[in-house]
Amino acid sequence: MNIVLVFNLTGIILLFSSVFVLIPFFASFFRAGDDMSALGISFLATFFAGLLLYFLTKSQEKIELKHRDGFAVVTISWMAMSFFGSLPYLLSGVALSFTDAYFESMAGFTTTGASVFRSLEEVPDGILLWRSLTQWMGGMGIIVFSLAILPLLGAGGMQLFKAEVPEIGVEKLRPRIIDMAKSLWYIYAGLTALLALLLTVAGMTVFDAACHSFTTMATGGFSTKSASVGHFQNTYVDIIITVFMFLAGVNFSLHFYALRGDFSKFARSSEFKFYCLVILCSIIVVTFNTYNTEYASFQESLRYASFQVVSIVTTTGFATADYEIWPVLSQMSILCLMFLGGMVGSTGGGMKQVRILLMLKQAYREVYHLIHPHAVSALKLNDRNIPKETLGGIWGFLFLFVLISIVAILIMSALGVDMVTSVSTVISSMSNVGPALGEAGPAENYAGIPDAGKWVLVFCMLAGRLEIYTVVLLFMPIFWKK
Amino acid sequence: MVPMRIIIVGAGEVGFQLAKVLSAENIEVVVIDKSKEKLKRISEELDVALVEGEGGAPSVLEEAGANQADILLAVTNIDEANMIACLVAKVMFQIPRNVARIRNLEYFSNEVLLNSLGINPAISPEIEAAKAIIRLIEVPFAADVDDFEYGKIKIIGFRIPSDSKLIGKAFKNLDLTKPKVLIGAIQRSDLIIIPSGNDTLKKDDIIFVPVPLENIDAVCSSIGGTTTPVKRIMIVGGGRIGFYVAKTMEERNLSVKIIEHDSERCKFLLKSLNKSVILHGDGSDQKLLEEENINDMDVFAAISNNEELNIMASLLAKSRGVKKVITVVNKTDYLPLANNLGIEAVLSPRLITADTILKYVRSGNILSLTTIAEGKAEIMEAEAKEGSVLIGKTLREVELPKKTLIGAIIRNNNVIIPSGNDKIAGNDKLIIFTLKDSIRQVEKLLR
Repeated sequence: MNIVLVFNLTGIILLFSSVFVLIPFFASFFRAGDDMSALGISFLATFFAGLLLYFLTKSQEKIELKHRDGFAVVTISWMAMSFFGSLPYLLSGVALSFTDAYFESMAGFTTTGASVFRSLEEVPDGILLWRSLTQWMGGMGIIVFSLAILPLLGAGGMQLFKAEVPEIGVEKLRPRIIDMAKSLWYIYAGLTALLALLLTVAGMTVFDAACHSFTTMATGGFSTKSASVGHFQNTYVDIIITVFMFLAGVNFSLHFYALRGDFSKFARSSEFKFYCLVILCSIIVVTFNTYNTEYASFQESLRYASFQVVSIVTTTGFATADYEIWPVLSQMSILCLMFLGGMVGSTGGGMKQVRILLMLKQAYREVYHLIHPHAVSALKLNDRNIPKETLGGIWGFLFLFVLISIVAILIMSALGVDMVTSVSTVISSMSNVGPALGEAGPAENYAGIPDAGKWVLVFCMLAGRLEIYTVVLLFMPIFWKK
Repeated sequence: MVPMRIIIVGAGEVGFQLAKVLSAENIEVVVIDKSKEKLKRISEELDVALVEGEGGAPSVLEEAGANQADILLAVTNIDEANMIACLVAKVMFQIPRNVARIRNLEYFSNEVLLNSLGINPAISPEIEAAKAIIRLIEVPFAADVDDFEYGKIKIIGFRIPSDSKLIGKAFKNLDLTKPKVLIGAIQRSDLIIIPSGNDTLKKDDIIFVPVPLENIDAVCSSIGGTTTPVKRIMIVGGGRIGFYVAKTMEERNLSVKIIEHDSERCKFLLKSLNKSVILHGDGSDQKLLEEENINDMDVFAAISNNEELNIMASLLAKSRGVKKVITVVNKTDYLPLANNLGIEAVLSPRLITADTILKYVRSGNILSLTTIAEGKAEIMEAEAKEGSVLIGKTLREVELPKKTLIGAIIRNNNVIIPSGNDKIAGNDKLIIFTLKDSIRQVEKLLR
């Protein structure tokens, strides 16, 4: 592995990301917020750290980025970004400890949206904006973002892209990675702007609208209010956000084709159909389950059920209702949905719909083979045969996902966290959802989790966001062998 | 600006090489191949789009974006597949330029057929290799010869002989003014150096020098090699390349001996060649070589299909004192190795094919581009358009990208070997030496 090159690229990515701290800095500057200096110092720290890293490791020769270097760059960049992203929280005094600040920052970049802040109303605007921005940057991926804007990463960009975005089911929209990253970001930024406009029209302040559109399109789930989207008590806002969460959970390549006028891809994508089916069924179950038990009117229960189902399945994690007081069936449905996540190639986290779909198909195939032992069959997705190795990769992914979750849950319980909370927080972090059940339910936050537990969840969030392999690789001895 | 889109059919050695060079530029490259494994190798190394399938199938071409493609390069090793791909590309997708790799001479020389298939041009790897070998034979002790400006200027790679007077001196102290010689690049085993005044030459370095056609002999003698014209040539391998070389040499009244191990092929050669001596035997058979007076040969060319045999035979010839040994190696991986063995000239028909094809896909300022040292460095011919930042500046003032050098200027059909005080004028054509990856920067300067 080429450590020098890895740190060089990390330096570039830090430099690039530092520019974004300026946005909340200026916002705070014009409102004369008291978080101005914290943001200013954070910018300088990130900028110079990146600059130093870049120049210290700058080499005369052009070295090619290898496959495995890509993984290291991505994981290390995400950890470094989260570190520097935590400075505003720490310096402004909003976060009480470094652990809290890092947790909040990681929950931002990984678009988990788990918060340790007890009351968001006391947090200055600049910091709130920064929280939302971290999610927006992390939503499509810091690397993809850098690639779209910086040509600096060159041909090595491809290796980085692959390490950040799983290959399964993602087709290369444009022959060159840089063009593809650009296309994705145009769509992402465009939808965000549209959402911000709609939310302002629906009655939110420009600031709230901007923050919420950042975190909705990233399927992040940070809000500017402690009561999340529920604070606004606005039906239009609920509906608009539900629709955009749904869109953010869709594979962006479908949006790409739709923008070119080709809507047939939606109809042909089996993953999209599966995604819709899961959402539809869940909404029906939760609506009927909460109707008459929680909510008096059918409309009300439909509204809250759809918002909550879409929010959880896309791993956004906004709340308009406290689902902890819902009947157990609805709560369990919510917990199961956390696993699923959005479509592959979306900003949503979780295991991704396509993996579940392929495993279902595989299970069906096994049964089919028991009945027709001599039958020849193939696993198909969108009229294409899926090779065996892809399936093996999915099983490995599933196993690691579960294994890491179990170990994390055991550690959490050892730290004295109760059962519901430890299970749900771990799953919620692995899937980058945000709110969990128990002590960390939608109406509460993660402040009560012990410090060691927060670090466990930080690891879960990162592993979940980078789809396990990229992160786990770094902890394998063979990765470091020459 | 919409980037150019090029579809490459065939992910073999030629396709890979093309994709590698093209994807480093501002070009969208899509590679089509039937083999998953070949595509996988490409996907691991290059930033290009891949489509699995038969290159001649309309659905596959459509998936590859043939509707917006500017050029199709059909380079599988099957002629018929390449022809079909070009035909489909022409008829169904109206791709303006379709280049095909065609080996069968009967197809290759039938212009009516090629035109109606929409193939323009057809490239035959064997003929290109033969042409390269002939170019090498023409220039004494050259390791590599490339033509630019229709042969008016040649970039010649000379392997520095051990008795050269150039060895050990720093460039700035060398007197290379009669005729003027400018060293554009040095290949030292695996390394490629774009030289500055302080570099020195070592034995067995290959120097790349732009030479105007009329100065070849003078330049050769000033570098320290013999300039006696080639009279006798021995060829190992009477395959397509060997046959083509022998035929051309025969026409130039050279004495040619061909060693071929297949008796059927020998009969064919007997029938098709007039004066050449056809020998039936093994090219690495020491006794046979000695019987045929190998030490009197001016050129020994090992160009059979068997690259291991070629290398062995070449080493044998070298040890018998043949002045110029040319070896054909197909596997690109063997190239650096063979170069280190002290054989004058090693060439790969596949790389030559890729290079030839690349000449046809240039657009904009870069008129022609050749790679040297297995693609580690590039020589390009580029036009400085009016309005470029380079114009009006002397070479000393011009700020080129790192490791880049202007080796020659072609102005109104005259070749100028420049010094630091020469100025660049509008519409000059420049011969530029550069390490790979700098094309884009150079292109920016020229605009």
